[in-house]
Amino acid sequence: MPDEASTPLIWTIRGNLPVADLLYETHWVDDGAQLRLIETYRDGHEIVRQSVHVYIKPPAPAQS
Amino acid sequence: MANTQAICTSFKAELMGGFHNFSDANPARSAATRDTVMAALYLASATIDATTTAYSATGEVSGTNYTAGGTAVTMAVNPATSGTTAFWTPSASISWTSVTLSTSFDAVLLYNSTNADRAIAVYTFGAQTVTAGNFSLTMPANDASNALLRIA
Repeated sequence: MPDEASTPLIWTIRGNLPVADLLYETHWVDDGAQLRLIETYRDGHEIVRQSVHVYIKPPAPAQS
Repeated sequence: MANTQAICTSFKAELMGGFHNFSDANPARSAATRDTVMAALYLASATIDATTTAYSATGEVSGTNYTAGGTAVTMAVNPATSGTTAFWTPSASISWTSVTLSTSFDAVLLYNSTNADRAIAVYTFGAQTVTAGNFSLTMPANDASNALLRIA
C-alpha cells in the first residue's frame, strides 16, 4: 500500500487532493473558429479543477 | 455587449504610421528589439472589437494568479510575406497556469505595451471558466494561409 508521501496529488480549489479520489473528464468542443479541450476534475458533483486549452483556427485576414 | 473577433481598425492605420514593430531587423528603429505584445483576457460581458484602440482594464477578467494586463506574448519570429499576404504568429502558445477565473470569458486582446498599449487584434473563443487550472491558447501554423495575423 503506498504511503502518503507517494500518493499522487493534484492542485484544486480545495488545495492538493489525491488525484485518484477525483473523477477526471475531458470534453472537446469544435465550434468552427476554434477547437477547445476542457479537462475537469470532480469531487462528487463539485468541479475542483478545470483547465481549458484552445486551438485557434486560422482567422480571416485583413483584406486589401 | 459582446466581444467580436477582428483586427483592430486603429492598428491598420498605425502600421502605416510605424507605431508597431514586430521585427528585430527594423532599420527605422534605433534598437534591434521587437515591441512587447501582451495578451489580456476579457469577460464574455465585455465589448472589445474592431473599434478597440487600446488596452483597457474595463471588462478584463480577474482571479487567482491572473495579473491585470495579461501576459507577454512570445515573439521570436519576424513578420513574413508569401504571395500578396503578410503574416505573423506568436512563436509559442499563450498560457496562464493555476488560475481561477470564475466569471465566463471569451476573448483575448493582443496589444502593444511598448507603444501606449495600442490594440492589435481581438480573438474570440467559446465562453468558459477555469478553476485552479490552466488556460492555453495554441497558435495556428505561421504561414500565409493560417497565421494568426494576416494582411492580404
